[in-house]
Amino acid sequence: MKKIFFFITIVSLSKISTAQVTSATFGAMQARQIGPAVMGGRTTVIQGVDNEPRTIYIGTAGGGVWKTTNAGVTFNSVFDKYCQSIGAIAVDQQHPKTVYVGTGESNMRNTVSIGEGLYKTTDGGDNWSRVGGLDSTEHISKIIIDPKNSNTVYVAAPGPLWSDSKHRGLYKSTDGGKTFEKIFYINEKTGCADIAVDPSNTSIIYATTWEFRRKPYAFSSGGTNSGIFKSTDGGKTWKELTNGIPKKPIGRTAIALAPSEPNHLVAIIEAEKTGLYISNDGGETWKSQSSTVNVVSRPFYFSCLVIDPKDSKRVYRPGFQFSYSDDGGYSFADGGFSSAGVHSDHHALWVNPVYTNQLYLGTDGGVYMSTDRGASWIQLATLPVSQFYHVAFDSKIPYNVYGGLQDNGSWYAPSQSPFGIKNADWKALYGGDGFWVQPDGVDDNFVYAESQGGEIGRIDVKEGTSVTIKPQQGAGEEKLRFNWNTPIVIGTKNKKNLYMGAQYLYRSSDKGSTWTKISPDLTTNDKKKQEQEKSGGLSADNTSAENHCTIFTIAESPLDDNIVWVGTDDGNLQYTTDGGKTWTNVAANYAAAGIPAQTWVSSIEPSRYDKNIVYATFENHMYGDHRTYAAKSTDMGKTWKRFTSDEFTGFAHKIREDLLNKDLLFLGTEMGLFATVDGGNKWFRMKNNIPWKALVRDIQINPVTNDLILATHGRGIIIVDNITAMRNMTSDIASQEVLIFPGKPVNLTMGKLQTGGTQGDGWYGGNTSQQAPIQYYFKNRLNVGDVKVEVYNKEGKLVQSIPGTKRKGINVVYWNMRSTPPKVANGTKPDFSGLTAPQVLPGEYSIKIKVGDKTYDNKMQLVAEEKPTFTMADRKVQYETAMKLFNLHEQLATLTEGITNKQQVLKADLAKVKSDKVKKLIQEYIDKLEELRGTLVPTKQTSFFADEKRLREDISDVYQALCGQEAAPSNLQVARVDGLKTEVTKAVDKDKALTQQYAEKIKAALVKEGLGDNKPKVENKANQ
Amino acid sequence: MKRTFTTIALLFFIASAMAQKTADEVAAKVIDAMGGKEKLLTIKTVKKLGSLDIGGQKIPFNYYCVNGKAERTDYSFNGLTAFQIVLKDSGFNFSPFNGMANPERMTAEDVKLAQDELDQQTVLLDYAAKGHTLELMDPEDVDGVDAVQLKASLNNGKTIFFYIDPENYYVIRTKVKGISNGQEFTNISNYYNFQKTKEGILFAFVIDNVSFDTIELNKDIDNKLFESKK
Repeated sequence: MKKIFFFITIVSLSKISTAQVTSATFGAMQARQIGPAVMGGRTTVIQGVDNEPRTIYIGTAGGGVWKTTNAGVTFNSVFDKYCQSIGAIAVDQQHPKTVYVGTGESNMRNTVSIGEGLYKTTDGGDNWSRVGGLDSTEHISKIIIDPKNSNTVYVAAPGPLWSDSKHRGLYKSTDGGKTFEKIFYINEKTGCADIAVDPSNTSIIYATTWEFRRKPYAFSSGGTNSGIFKSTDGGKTWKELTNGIPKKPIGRTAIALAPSEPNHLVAIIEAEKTGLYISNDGGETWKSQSSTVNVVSRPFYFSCLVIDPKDSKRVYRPGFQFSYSDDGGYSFADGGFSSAGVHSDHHALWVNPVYTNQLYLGTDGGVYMSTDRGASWIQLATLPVSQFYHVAFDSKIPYNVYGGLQDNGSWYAPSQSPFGIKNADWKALYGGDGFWVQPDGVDDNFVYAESQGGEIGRIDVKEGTSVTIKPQQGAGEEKLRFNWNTPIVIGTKNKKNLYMGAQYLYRSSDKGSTWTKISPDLTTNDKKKQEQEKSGGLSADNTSAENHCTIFTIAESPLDDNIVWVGTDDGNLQYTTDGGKTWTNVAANYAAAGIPAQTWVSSIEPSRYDKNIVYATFENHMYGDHRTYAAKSTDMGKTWKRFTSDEFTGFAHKIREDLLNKDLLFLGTEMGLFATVDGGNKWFRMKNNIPWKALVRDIQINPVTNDLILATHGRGIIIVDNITAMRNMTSDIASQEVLIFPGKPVNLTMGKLQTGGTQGDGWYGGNTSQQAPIQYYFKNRLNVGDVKVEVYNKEGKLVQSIPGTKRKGINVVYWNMRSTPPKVANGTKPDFSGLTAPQVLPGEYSIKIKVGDKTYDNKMQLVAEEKPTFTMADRKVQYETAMKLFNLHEQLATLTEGITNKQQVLKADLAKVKSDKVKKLIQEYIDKLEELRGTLVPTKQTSFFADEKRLREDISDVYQALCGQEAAPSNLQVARVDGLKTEVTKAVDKDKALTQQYAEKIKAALVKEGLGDNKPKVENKANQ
Repeated sequence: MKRTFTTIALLFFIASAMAQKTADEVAAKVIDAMGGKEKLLTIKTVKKLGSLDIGGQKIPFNYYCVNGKAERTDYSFNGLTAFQIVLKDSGFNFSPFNGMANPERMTAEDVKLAQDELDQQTVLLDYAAKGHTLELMDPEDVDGVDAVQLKASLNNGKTIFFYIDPENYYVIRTKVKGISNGQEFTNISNYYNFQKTKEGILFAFVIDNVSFDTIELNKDIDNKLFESKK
């Protein structure tokens, strides 16, 4: 603690009260969301405004709600404070600024997230309120607002996936969402999967029920309680539709009604023989029709079925692929566009009701738009909702980030890129679903990535080749069990170590060419949890997602590579202190700290400060328990202390200890990122451009840049640049009114990684500022008084004065490492040299932060990298040459200002004199001055596009080039300065000569006319 | 059932009235913090002279308004002056930096959207009489302040969200939303360095990166400033 205080200048000790450290404390430390958007993320719902179809809302699996008002050219996130898992959206078409969002996706895959109920906005997404008391439904699949009565709202809730619950069924509100009544309910295992309301008679409602359940190791879809039901009295009474419906058990049913012909219904019914069924009599009778592969595939996951609003024969089936029917569902044709680059796995479709050829399609890979009813598509690659499982980084400068995504393979991208990180900066590494990606600990040219179930490859990034290195079952061993999300870990202490876990732990020190099994089966090996081939219920579904009794997390101690910790999905927490020879299971111990026994171990973090200290997160959501479990042991797992906080939301994925401050911890959960600066006593939610309930799956800290790097499952990679200020913060420090933070030496650079990109290239993730940060802290927002940050050189000369920010918490002001730009001569066209200044030289600069009437002093060290292409001598020549041009600009500005002033005085005199001879003399002088001015600056402005290259522009040509280049000036640039100086001198001399030629004569003439005096009226500093 | 509906309707009315009262109270406190209704009603003209900082260069930035009639915003660089003039029924833009040779007319839509800016006595004052509505929203974090949020739906179709420091009822941020040229726009401004003029009326002397050196009220403003001449 002493050390931390030492590094901080406490400029005010007027402690008023202890301040709580919160997200606001780190005010200006805004995170960067770097995407990507190129491969999108799972999109769960799309809803537009019927009479203004350029306004569309997009709901995502883990990235919240996005809104476009320009048909998808750009999107804005409008749901950052709330649950990011979205199941349903409904727009009140009578009052289109009223929108309901049902949280909790209902595509019930293994990684589906959890919702927190229903939200409503009445101002198009600016403000949201949680309404209706549906907070425990966890999953909402559809919302329908009565098209004739906005106060009537229906919400279909399949309900909790992992547990029995009464919070499921069909709910109805008659007061605009304030309250809801459950109007249709089967039992605690059966929810409402889909609904349709007849727009011509809104008392007619169709609802499908679904009996389903997931366990960590199995999925079951279907039961005798699933079915299709109809109400003709607004939900008061219901009857089951059975005529033509397959015999029970049945599973999930998607139903759609033709708005233009409401008696025409289609439904995909999961059954022993799944297929599409059609009714033309309002559901009274059904006929089995199509059962193409796309129609019957994975009904629990593909539950979207849409009929064109105007054409009842046009039926769309977005599923594994995209199918359409032109005969009301009797036959389907596949879009067949997979090869054209449209991502498979479709979950949402919105048909523009005004122009029904226009479709918006939501997939596992983002949103696509078609204007020809699905024949061709364009990706709207501006939605940064990619779903990472993990993140890693390499040692390059700037470093690359790596990660695997849900259904989108494995990718990497630079953490900074010229003009910002764009879609094009992201490079694909590996296929399948992506999970762990690890750059080799020693050689960054090699990267390890995997697809689901441990299909690991070693990728030679330079060569673009990969080698499969998956550990294989040994003779006499049990079949290997790899988790869906199999851990691949590089040693923290020994970077040569590559670990991978099945039920056994494997280690390689030669890039996976040779593996050594260094453990026995570390799981419970419960055979009842290993019957995945029976998983799926009515539709067999065994894709390794339910693999169980596997190793899920591996961590090597940063202090000793013989200490390795392993956590399993069935709750074992084991460690070795001898490199794998012996193992100790401490699973029984964490239960004593209030963590349920045998809970999935989601992460382990051995401390870098003490071998005996270890942190771990546990998550029990697959048993219906969504509480946050994170704990610390100081005795190698013998005893545990659970972290608790009222701030916590969501089950825990990852805990990370800071690299330099043992009391700074980060916790990522299914609903947010949390931090503590006091070792876990008090936690706060991190915001500052991090969605408050982001699904934070992984956390890394770069030891060089001190960046906090987050893998989110729905908002891509998020980087909080340079967390040094967090390391230095305590509640005592936060209690000070004003604090000044010393900056670390800043590298002088210009233009290397500029900002300024746009969404033209898809999503644009900004760079870290390359400018020099000046950090200070205000306990409160400064409402009264101004803040100026002044930079002085070692001679005490003011280099630049910068307006200071005034927010509560940490403020960051950036100095562009340049002086104040020169005064530039006025002309009829702008010259932007007046906004350009030479970059200063390396060295120490004094910083004065003026807060109201108080001044706080600080220092800043600018350092320059010595490069063969730009030596220190080069830098000095560049600076001196630029400054010569700077001075020429100022000299020219003074000269032209003097000329203009003289002309104004002369014109005033001209109006007063009577003598024609004097008038002629004055006019002649004015004209000569204008002739001279016309050689110095543009004076005509015939057109913005017509250049008038004058002496000012000649100076600017060289000046701007020198100010913008990291290179010594060329010989001709240097020589040109001398030439320009001569030109300016000549102009000054010319002005002097004109003065000599005319000034005295005119003065005498004016005196003679009684208008003048003997004092010179106009002085021209440039002549002095 | 009828009685239940009546009761619900009555409760709803009372709840709405209470919410409305709260929005009114907040507006009243903001008006008081600004100097009070009486003083605000004395504002006839506003003249703000200051500068905009770009990389250390101070660009003169001025604002003139004749309350309810005309406003002009201008900034100058390199001897050239860009301006926007908004009148009751017309408006002009001139930016030589963007290649304009002469002032260009604003669209009727943009003129309409700018009309509320002519109200220097604040749209919150007598808002109902002016045809605006107010709504109190959930608090919002602004620069670390848990700001009171007041939503004003204006008679020109624009919406202004006022973010108010609950300590002193200063408006510390506004978010303006509207639709222009078929596109939704959002403009956010942050306000700092609050000072009272000699008339006792509160102004922010810093708005984002614009800093005003002087703010004068009820001074004569040359009508020529509102002519569409460069």
